Amino acid sequence: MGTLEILKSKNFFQKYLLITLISLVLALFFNAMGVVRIFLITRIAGILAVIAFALLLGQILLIFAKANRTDILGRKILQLNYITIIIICNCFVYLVIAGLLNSFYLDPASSPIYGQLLAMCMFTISLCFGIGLSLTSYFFLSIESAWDF
Amino acid sequence: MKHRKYALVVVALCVFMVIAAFLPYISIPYRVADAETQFKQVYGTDYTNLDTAGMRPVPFSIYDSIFGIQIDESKFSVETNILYLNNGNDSFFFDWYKPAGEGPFPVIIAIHGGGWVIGNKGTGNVMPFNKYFASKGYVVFDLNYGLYDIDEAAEDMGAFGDAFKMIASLISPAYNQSYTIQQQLENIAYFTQVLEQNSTKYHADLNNVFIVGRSAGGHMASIVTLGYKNPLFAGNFSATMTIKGGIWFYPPTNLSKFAGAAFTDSLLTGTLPLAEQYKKFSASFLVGNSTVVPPIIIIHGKIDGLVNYESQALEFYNYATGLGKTCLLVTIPWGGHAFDINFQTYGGQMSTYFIERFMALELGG
Repeated sequence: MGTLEILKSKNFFQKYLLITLISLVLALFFNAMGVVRIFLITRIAGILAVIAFALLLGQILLIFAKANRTDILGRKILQLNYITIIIICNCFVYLVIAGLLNSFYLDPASSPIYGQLLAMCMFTISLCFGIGLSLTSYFFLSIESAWDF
Repeated sequence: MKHRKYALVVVALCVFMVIAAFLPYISIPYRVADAETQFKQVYGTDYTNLDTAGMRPVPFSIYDSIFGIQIDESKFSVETNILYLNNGNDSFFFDWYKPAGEGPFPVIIAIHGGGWVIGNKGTGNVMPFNKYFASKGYVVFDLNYGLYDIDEAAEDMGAFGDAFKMIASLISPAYNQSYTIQQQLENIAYFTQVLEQNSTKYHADLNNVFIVGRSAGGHMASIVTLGYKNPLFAGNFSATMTIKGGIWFYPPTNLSKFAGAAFTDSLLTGTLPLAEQYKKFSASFLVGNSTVVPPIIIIHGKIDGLVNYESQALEFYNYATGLGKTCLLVTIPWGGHAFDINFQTYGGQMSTYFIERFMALELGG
């Protein structure tokens, strides 16, 4: 139970937000750099993407648990949380569509560039919304009424 | 309080879905290790010392599963819809993926799937696979062949009948004639003869041929691989071609164990009595009956709902290796039928990783 109490503390939340933010920014950077297709960079980019989205999922759940619904700023943060979830879910659907576009372009002589472009856009958008959510939560953490600690 | 309960249920569901989505990825290392063990057993130090420069460095890359497998489009060109047969009723074509340079290049003959009743070359036959290997120096021929009349077959196909009819109208060529499996195979065999006559024109090295097929195309590939030197198919295939390997994706290897006897009975109508036709067109029979058995790699999804993994892939693998034949089985964890249709998924990546090593080893490293 002691561990759970630590997880609910403001100190832990602050550190968690910071780690999520850093991993999301790194994931964005390395995935953009991955275009050059250097094996090590793509390897790091892939691992960072998984870590960043796992942390983002935890962050979304933490914000649900800790944002103060009776406060106007708390409600705004919750709204941003919902928007981030919707955007990420949509982006993931488009990522699957992009994968299919890569496989099913109509003419064998044409290039699957549109599928790859779509994937890059959707991935970047979802990471950017995650970064936005982390940043907002981190900077508004000092406003005590917005949180339920 | 009530809302909180609902929220908890939704959160629990979401977490469960995320975990379920990641489950296949947890199984990948185990299946990769299994395939690696088979390669080491079959090829020994040739496998461990294989020069893999230019090949996919890892069986699975998260980055590639998001953004697609890199294919260098400057290293090949594609010519589409080249006629290879006109039988008076219908015309059959192939797409030619030509690597840059004069060659001759090792050959991949790609045969599309579709339950012998639907399907087509090009979009219907995992184009990125053909492009990937063309960029690696293989000349790829992606061909179409005759199909059995879908209206006739739909009644015997049960639940799949209507779905296949709908797909047929979207992707299959409109043929005037219905083709049994024997006639379909004769189309493909005829292509090998055309290739033999035009090997210089198409930069094809007929001493190094690989046959690739998916699903029903995998079945066709299995018959070509095992039957091209078998007296049962005398006169059908190119006499000078040497098949270096059969690459079968989720193939039916034993048609007598394939679901829907009425369906396969009508498809197998041919020159021999039905029981003999079943044998002639089953890899599980041909592997013990043919004097020439090229090395085989089977790639099959573990949870294939259309072509059963245990009765079609695993049983064949055990039987063939028991006979002392070279056979490798790459199992795709949580992979269903046509797992590689989306080429960049882990199934497509894993299969490409092992296939390129298989072909390199068969070509002598």
